[in-house]
Amino acid sequence: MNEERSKILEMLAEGKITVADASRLLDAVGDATSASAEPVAISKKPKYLKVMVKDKGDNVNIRVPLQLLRAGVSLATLLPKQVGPQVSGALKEKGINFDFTQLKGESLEELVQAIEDLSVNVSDKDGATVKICCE
Amino acid sequence: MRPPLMMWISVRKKAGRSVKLWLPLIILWPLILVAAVLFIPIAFICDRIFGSKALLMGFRIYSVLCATRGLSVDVKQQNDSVRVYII
Repeated sequence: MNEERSKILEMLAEGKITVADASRLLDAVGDATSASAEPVAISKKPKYLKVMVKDKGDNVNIRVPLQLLRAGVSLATLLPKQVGPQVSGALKEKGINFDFTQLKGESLEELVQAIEDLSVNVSDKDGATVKICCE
Repeated sequence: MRPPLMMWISVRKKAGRSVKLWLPLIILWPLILVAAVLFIPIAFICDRIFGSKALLMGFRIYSVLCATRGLSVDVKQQNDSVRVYII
């Protein structure tokens, strides 16, 4: 690209083109240069949710495909309405305060997007660590 | 959307006994195909007559099955370990 700019400046110096033409040509070369030099940021969409827990001799590594999460939520939206409160009650008994009836297909992508941005890294003084991330 | 090809399960106990299984899930594909061929017309008729969502439910169940590809669970406690991989 420097070669092209040099040629344009040479032509201007020789009087073959006007200043306005040279300016236009330099802008065009400059745009082409910046377009080719600009690194194309390809953001790789995460595919898996990873949960890693380490506590002394105990290790837990779980990798769940995000597509499974999407498919599971899509399937859950088809369950009969009377099942929702029962599932919410069962989750609550296990200590999970999640209202299953509020799970809707429209908010699925929003939910997955929120999980894709999730990153948890916790460690305590005993050396136990919990890491949750998407990759 | 492709169903999983294989499942690998490994269970190791402190006593030294371990169980390792390679399950070729690919052999289930023809069965899934036959089940789909049988299920789709019945589901279609049910949807038309009773207004159910059987066909959509069947498709979503199949989606969940296909989405299990890449699932891996690796749990190790002291000398015991359980590993499950689905590819």
